[in-house]
Amino acid sequence: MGKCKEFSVNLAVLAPSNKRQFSFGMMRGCIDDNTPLYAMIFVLRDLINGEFQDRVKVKVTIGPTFNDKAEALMKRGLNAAQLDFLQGPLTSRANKLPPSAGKEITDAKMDKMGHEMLDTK
Amino acid sequence: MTSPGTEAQVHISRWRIHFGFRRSWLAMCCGLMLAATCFAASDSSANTPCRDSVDSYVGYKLTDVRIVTPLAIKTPLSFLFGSQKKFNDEFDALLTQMPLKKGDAFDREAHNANMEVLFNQFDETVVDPGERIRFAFRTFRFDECNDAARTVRLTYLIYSSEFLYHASRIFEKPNNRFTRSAAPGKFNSPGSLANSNGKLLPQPLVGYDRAREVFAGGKADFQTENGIIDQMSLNGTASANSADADFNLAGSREFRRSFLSHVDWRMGYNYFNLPSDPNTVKAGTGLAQVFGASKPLGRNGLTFRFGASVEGGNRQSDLPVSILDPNLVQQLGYGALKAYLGATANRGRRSWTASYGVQLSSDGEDPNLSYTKHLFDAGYRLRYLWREHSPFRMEAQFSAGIIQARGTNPVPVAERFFGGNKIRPFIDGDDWIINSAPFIRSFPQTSLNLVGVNAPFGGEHFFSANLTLSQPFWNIPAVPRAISQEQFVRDAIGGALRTARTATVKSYLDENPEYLGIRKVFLGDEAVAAPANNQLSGNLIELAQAVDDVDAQLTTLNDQHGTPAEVLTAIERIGDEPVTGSDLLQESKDAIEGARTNPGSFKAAVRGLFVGFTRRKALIPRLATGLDQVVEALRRAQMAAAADTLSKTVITLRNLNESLKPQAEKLIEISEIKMERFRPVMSVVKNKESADDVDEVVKKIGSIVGGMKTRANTMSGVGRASLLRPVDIKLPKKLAVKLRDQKDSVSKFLNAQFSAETRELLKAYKETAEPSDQLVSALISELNRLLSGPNLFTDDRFEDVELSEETEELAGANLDGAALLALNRSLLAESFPGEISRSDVDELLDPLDGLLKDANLALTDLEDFESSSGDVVHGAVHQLAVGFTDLSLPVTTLIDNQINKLQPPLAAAGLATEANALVAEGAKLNALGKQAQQLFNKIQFPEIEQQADRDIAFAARSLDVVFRELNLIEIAPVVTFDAARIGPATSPGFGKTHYGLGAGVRFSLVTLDFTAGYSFNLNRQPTEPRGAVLLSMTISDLFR
Repeated sequence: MGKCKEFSVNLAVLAPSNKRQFSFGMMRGCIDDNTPLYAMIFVLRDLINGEFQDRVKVKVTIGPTFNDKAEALMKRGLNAAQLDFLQGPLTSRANKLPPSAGKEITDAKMDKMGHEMLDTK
Repeated sequence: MTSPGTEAQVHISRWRIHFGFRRSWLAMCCGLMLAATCFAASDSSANTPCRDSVDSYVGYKLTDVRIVTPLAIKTPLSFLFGSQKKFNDEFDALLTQMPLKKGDAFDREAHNANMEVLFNQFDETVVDPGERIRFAFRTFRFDECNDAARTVRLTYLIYSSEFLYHASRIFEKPNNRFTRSAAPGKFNSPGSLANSNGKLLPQPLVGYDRAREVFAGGKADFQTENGIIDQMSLNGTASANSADADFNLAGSREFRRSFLSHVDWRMGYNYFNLPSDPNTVKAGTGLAQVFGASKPLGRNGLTFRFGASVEGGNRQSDLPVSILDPNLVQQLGYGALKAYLGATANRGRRSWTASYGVQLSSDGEDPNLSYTKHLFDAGYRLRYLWREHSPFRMEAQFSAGIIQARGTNPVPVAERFFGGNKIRPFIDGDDWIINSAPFIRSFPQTSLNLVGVNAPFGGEHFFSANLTLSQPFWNIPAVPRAISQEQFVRDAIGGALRTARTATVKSYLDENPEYLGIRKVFLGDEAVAAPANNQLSGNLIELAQAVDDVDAQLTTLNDQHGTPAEVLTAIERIGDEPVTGSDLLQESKDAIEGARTNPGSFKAAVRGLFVGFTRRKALIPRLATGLDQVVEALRRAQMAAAADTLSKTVITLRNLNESLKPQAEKLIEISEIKMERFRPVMSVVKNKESADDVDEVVKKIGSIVGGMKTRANTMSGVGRASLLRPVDIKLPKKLAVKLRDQKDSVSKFLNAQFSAETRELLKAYKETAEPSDQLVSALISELNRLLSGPNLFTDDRFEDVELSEETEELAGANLDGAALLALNRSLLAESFPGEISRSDVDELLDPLDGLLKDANLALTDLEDFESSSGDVVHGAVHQLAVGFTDLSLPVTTLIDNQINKLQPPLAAAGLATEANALVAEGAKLNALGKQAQQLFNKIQFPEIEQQADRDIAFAARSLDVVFRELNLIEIAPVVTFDAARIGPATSPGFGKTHYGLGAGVRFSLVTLDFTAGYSFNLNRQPTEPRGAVLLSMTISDLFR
């Protein structure tokens, strides 16, 4: 039985005010049957002039080295400090990256911060 | 109170229905069965079994790439699901974005990119207020695998709570009531299917009733946004002998910070003219109503309902005056004040309801009270999930009523109690339905009316009791078992729900008065003049100014000629901090800007500025430290003036940090639970003074597992001291490719040891096909020869292999015999982890190992729990001992379940003693977990967390239904039992209790139930019907 099979889980929550929405998702990709690779996405949107607009949008890929921690995050869920880390330093870094015209950008600092986030308590 | 799922009913009475209709009914049943068959055929896997290994399909041609979601089902009833087209259009658009397409050769990287397209698609989602939380799970499967033709169909599967949201709104608006309390407000996203504002929504309706015969009509709703009146509805049906109609204008208001959840109001007019053999009852009523509901209270979601209706009009009957009782009248004006109070509560899959209603009536002209009507209604519903997707359902209902006339005042016949197989609501228009007439399914609508010889004018009092039982015997689960029972799916759901809780707590926190007060202090007031004498108020305005000053000074130093290199290097380090690589100045500016302009990121920004994270200290102190080095460099470079200016700004930064840091810490602590509340739970989970806590038992289990693994080194057959069998080669194709290509030192070594014939076979092998039996058997034979000795290990050879500690320890030892065989097998298995099995024992213990790792990670987070943050402890304990019911079980229970599964194969493998010890420890762990769960449930969490827990409980319940209960199609036999009585009798032999016993079949499509059956009148009187056919269409609200 191959151990690694791709799947993704997303969850979006509308704040009680109906004016803010956050979504969090984790995807497990597979380099091969034995090597998973995790990606995490976090989006915070605010209702501005009747439409939800992105305030924060961060996507981090967590490579095979940190698979255990990424898997643990997937099972445990984010804690408050991790959520703050996503909305704070990670978002700040993501906003600095040049426009990508819809394409993914690889950023070593961002990936490093993604690993840092896994250890945040 | 009737069951919430009894709206939209069509009843047909007696078997003697028109042949044409019976034919239609049969056609409909056939259509439904066809739908079931079509779906079953279209979505089941192809006959050729597909392998689990995704890698084994690399290079196969894709006969199709498609996306499937439960609502994308092509059935004759597809038209019922208005959202289907939307989904299909979305999927078509997604397929065009996917790099891997129909006709391509399957490639894992491109397949990952396809998955990513689906993953990213969720970013754009907008959650509707009625949903509050939206969940999506995506995976894939291979269909129609054909190894001969090397073709395969790739199907991506999407399971989203969105489709359930639409499914539960197909027919009726009242489903709003279940989520209304959780999601106040009327916001609708522009692209949402749920957005019905400004649209006229007509719905045609055709039905049949023995009394009314064929009737037809329709309903139309129009909604607007806001305003006192935001909904208009018109309903009407008519037949040759009957008619009913109503017109309503309605409005509502939701409350966020109140005991009340919502209040509705309504004005309208209704009319009915219904046969009640030999009589006809008619009524016209103008009304003004108000209804409301409390927010759900407590763990069982106890919700109170109330309402009142002021009504005026007339009541008429066709009964000859000659047969009427002196106290009854054929026609009378009608005026009434109706009021009710009700309550409902839910616990798991059980719900209770109870209501009392009173009606004070006059004849419409005389304001004095003519008569009073009292009604009581109670219900109990149970769905017992003894097996997943096969819920036994029970619905029990009791209703009673009495009319009390005042003196000799007459009571209109139409106001008396007529029984039959249709619920008659006490107050029309409210979604809280109180039955106001005897409900007995063996009598056609309004046909239970005789209280004496020639006295068909209904009762003055009544009672009815009803029982409905059903048990599905055939079903297609909404989420296939292959997916819903995968442990990683359930784990991921648990994690996602815990994340949702964290985010929900944060959302509530953003509205907390204390939090808002601190935020106000941080933001300061730009209109207020700064304190004199360079004093600081301590706010972000001042901090922004100080950081801007730093920026200006550093820019000047950078730009001016002659700034020494040492100074420039120190400045550069601020822009690229060693170790973290942070641009301290820019990040500080971004964080300050974020805190000032983006309320949603305020706490995160403040934490980053003043408190910091586990591996990243706060920005302002780091910036100040970096600036100190610039100041020192300036002084060394004899630039005293610049150094003094910068030094003053650094002092300002530090002062602001000193002033704002305590506020920031307070901000983070708001609503955080005090750690002592966790002490009782921790006494069971991780207690240094006890040898019998979760931590200790996990360690004991780990130790038994370790012992078994050590024993596996000396066990032949099932242990590692065994030669390879064909079954031990898990992926022959991958192994052959690796050994052929020799890209690593172990493969290179092994290939070199093989015979010339085997090397030739390997060389000739093309991965476009599976390796031949000849090649596999040659490889096994070669590897087995090498396994026997000598020791395969050398440092150089295994330099790039991640060996386990145990194997590394043994590698250097001087072993022989079985021990050497075991070592060599471990070395091979760890070099080719996906391709070669370590041993049967290892394969058996792998899942338990994974669970023990989860438990140990959670327990590590509970070390020194008192110095941890509340939500870290909450998350760890929740994962370990609480979980989300059976949807995502706690790790302690999972370990016990896994151990019980392992016991027989371990015993069969000769490890009975260890297996029994594991079972004992597993049971102990499970008991401790349950004890911890009970203690956890007793913790009094802060109000904000309680609110978040209620929201998440709703989401968890919904997901539990989707993954464990909901069926796309379900067929269940139904048994009904009714008892009803009206009285008082005007002649001997009347006024007895009538009994009805019925049986039928329910066909369910997602949440839509069609039930057909026949109920027999068990104690039939000469003038009474033998029984009645019941045909009903209802929406069952599984998501309550």
